[in-house]
Amino acid sequence: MEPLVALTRINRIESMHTGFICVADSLDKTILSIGDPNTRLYLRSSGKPFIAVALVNSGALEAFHISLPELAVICSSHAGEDYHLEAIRSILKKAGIDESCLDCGATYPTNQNMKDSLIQKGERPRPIHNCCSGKHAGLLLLCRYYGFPIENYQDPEHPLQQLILQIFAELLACNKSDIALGIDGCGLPTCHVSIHQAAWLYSLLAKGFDDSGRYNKCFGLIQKAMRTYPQMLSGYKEFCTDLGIASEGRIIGKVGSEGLYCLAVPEKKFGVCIKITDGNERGVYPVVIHLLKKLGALTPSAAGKLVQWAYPPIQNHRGTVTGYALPVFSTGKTGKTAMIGNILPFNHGS
Amino acid sequence: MKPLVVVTRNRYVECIHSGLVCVVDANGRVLHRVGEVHTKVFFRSCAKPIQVIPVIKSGAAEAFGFSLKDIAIACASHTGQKFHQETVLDMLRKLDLDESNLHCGVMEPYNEAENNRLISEGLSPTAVHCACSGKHSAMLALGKFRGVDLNGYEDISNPVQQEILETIAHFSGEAADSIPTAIDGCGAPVFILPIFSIALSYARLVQYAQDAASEWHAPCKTVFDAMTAHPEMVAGEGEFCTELMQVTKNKLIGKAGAEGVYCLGIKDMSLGICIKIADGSERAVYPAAMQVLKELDILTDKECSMLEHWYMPVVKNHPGKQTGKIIPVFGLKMPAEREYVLGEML
Repeated sequence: MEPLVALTRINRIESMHTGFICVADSLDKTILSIGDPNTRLYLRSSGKPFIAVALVNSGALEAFHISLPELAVICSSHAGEDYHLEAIRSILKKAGIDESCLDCGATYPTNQNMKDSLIQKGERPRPIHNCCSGKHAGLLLLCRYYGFPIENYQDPEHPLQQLILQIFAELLACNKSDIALGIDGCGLPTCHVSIHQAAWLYSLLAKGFDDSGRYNKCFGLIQKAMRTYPQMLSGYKEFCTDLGIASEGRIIGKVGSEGLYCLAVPEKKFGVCIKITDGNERGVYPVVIHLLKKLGALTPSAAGKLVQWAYPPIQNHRGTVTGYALPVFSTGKTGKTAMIGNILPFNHGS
Repeated sequence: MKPLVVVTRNRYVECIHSGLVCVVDANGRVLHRVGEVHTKVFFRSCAKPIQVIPVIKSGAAEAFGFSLKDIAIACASHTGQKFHQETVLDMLRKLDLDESNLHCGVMEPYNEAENNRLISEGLSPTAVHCACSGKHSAMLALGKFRGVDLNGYEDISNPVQQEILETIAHFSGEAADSIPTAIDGCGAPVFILPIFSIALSYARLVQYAQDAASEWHAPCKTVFDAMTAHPEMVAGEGEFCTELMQVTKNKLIGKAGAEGVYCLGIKDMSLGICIKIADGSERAVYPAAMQVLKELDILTDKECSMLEHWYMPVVKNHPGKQTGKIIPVFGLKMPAEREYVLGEML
């Protein structure tokens, strides 16, 4: 397993994150890969834009007058800020579905201020605060559109889930039975795919309207929603949002649990999948920025705005910066392997 | 590095935590290892039981009337519960000092209920809530006892830290001037040592604690007795270190450090153990520690069953359904049959 990120303390490596990278282009050619691209992982929340394909394809968006920001929140892992909750309530209202039907489980919002304000008010978190509630609202809308039962909408055997699985099978050119399913953090099925397949799926999103497949209009619209409303994808000071804003919509990034990150780069029609082996989110963002720079997908101005994500400083309780999370992988053939305990001076230019 | 722990979702491996393990006796014989034992790691909070030794050996702890409870919290990364705060404040009172003398920085307490209480009452956490405030109080005691400038007590050049460094050097078997130091999460020096030397420190600590002839006997016995008599002080309610020492009574000491470090000192066999999870993830640490303890036959069946939830913790999703497990996959006595890979079916 290749070291991707080193955590330094003063000038030495204290911890390391290994991982996998695959970049696929629109012709399904592998542009770059680190680690075996056939390694399999669960798509987790990075699968949300493809679940949204079922929704866009059905015609339910038009039927229920779902707006683009609402489509973006359906693809999101949101931080539970007010404007996220408003968009989700609006989707549910348009579908005539009660908030209590959301079966994603109750969690505190990821946004610290929103969480603190619940605690201060003595309120328990509700399912709508769960970062997956947008996706669940979208699925409930789809149930309503097709007249499927609301009960057990998360069950893999439910017609809704069968429909979504069918779309994944079509996109991956395989049979439904070829895709192993796991249960996601919010209770929905999640597909077990290869890292290369994940990158391929994102290359479809990168192509959008230009794709020659039957879902190109869906990808075009989802791409537009995600590019235009990055604040809906995660939230204030969250990476997916910051990346979308800094790149002025040129890059779509979507996080998944357990160290997963997927990207669509429309200008280059690239799809990217990154997986940190140990699942730690802190390893993800330095890798994303370093890779995008190497791919020539990030302008210097965008990179400048994202420097806190590229080399996140590690602070102690007194606020002193004691180290950084630094990318240590090379996209070329050569490269010195970083090791725990070794000296690694910090150099922004390297 | 070798996989030590995997995290599954349904039947597939979703994450892998690699790492290092070293088990040594007090003579410095490596009994078991996973990976290269000369790999240097940051000692972090696992050093606390050694860092407190000069505070006792100097006579400072006695002079200020520190109790075993006080010594236990000096060895702690406590979770900031009420009883932790009271103990630290009590230590400071004995020193005729107050919170403002603590240079550990301010952090939200690890204990969720206490943290939520602060938020709901609109209060800010203080230095006393910091997991390292007990250690810092003990450092202040040594400084006051030696009559040095308390203002920079946490600085490596301060005589307090030099005395601690000498102690770390003795226990780890490394020369003081060859031990690199850096700054820990609480601003105090942190020592960079091979995992072998860290394990050896713990083996020596438990051996001296039982060897009445050793010049280090009294302070080591005090540390061992304090941690095993007051495990609730060493971490807190629902925490691994606390539960481990509560369940095993007088058998061992266990101490967690940040970035995936864990140390154990086993009394009977005078063993020292150091574990480092390469990626620093806490969730992998406890299953790895349990695996080591099980393989070395240190736990009785009853103790195993009481600690079972730390051995293979269940992973649940937000609706509360079990989706997977965290499973140790290494062997000390026999190497694992194969390397685990991401995405494979277990």
